[in-house]
Amino acid sequence: MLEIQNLYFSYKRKQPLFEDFSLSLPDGCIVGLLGKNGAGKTTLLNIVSGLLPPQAGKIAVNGFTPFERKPAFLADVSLIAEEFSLPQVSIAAYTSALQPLYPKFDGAKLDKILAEFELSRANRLHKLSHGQRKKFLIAFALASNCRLLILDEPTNGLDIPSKSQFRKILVSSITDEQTVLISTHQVRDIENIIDSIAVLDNGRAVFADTLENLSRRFRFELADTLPTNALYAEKSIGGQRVILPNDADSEETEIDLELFFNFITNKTYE
Amino acid sequence: MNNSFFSPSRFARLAAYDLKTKYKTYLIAVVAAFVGFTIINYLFLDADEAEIVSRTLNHLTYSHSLASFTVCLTAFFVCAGFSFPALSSKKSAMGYILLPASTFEKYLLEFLIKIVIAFGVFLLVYYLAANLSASIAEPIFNNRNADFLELKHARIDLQPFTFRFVYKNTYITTVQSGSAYVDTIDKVSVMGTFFVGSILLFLFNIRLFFKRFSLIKTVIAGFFVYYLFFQLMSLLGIAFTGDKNTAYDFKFFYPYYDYLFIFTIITLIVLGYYKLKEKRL
Repeated sequence: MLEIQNLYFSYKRKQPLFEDFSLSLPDGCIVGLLGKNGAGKTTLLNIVSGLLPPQAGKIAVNGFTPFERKPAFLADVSLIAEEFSLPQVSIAAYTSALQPLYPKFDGAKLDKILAEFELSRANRLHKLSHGQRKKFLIAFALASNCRLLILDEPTNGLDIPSKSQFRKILVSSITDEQTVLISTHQVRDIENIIDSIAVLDNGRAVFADTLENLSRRFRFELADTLPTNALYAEKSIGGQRVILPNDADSEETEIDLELFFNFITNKTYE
Repeated sequence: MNNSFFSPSRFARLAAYDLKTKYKTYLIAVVAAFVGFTIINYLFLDADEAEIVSRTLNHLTYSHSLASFTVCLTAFFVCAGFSFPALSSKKSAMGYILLPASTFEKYLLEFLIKIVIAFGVFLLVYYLAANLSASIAEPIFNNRNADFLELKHARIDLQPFTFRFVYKNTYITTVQSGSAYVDTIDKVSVMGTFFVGSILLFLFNIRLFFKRFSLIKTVIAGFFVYYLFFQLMSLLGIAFTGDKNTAYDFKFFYPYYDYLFIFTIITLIVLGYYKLKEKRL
């Protein structure tokens, strides 16, 4: 579904952002794309969606080369950027204008999601807050039934109840054929909905795997004292949050994504 | 896949999307143009009041001002420079580039709306505005010059504006301005149309050619293009005729200007299409 091989990308007069970057994501997964500031998360999303061309390497999304921007590819990919622009019309007018360009668009699904977000087709887009407009875009993207949904910091600008609504709606709205790629700094906002993570650091995907495998391989505990076999530890209230190797017969623990991200980006993972 | 390049139904959907989301902008532009053109036409008529009175007294017809048409045409050209409005910012460019339609369809739609339809609308709006301003000016001028006209038993009767006036005036102005080798009105029309078309196409593509400070860059680029063009014509004129007095006398190349401007128009269209195709955020 999404296949990136040996990607190289650099902005003018800057250090290369990606060098020999490879990543492969199957159909039907929700992937959390994590990385420090400036790691290239947004740039990667722009490359995947066809807004930027790779300078070297190969990239294929649903069998298409994104930068060729073929209509069939564009109709099957939906990107919600952190900053976006919408025309000064009502949701109804915008939807009726744009939905014919998305062959798999489901109007009933849109109405259902809009209702859950407490929005209606009568709302005028320019009179909505940034968060409400973002909720509309999320609703439209989900209703478009695109095979690839790309969300860049989707929870930025959403209030606390909306974040929880977003998680619920996302999980209930996508099908097994759809892949969702979510880039975020807010690890806690997405930790319960993603089933895979990809961590970007120094121009490479330093970790890309399912949470299931992650849980099989590591244990996350709160310990009073630092265990001798700890792979990584951080001081916390009530002790130390530690990552330990998971023995074959050990019980799986709840994943602490924030701790794991710090572990991965502070130490070369092998 | 064949319809990756052009699909009539997808093009129709794209056009419907454009009209549904931008109809207010287009309506405002038409209304603003109508009001603006009416004011401009009236101001030019007002400036010509003495001539209008004189021609009335001499039983001559007053032809509407070519200058007012030129000013309004310039405004139309400036508007063409605002084509591809979505490319003015990263936020809107993103949505535009990712619209599910081919680059050709997007370019063609913008071309049809901002050049073909807009020019037709411009001519219609100008025609209506010129006639409205004439019908406003006529009673005002009659009233202002009532005493004088009464003595001569005359009355100002402004002829309705027609584009024949513009056509005729262009010819007269061109010939009178000393373009000695402009021999026929048809030659003037054809060459002028292609020349104007090449400038229009350049302005149409501005946002595709330049990312930032497009207006300043256009002025600088335009200046250099025309400077180089005239220098080249001068040098070639000397080279072909061996006569240094022919410098800046472009008579030698005159028969080829049509082809030059047609070539420029085609190049700009192709270049604009590829710039849009390769547009990156």
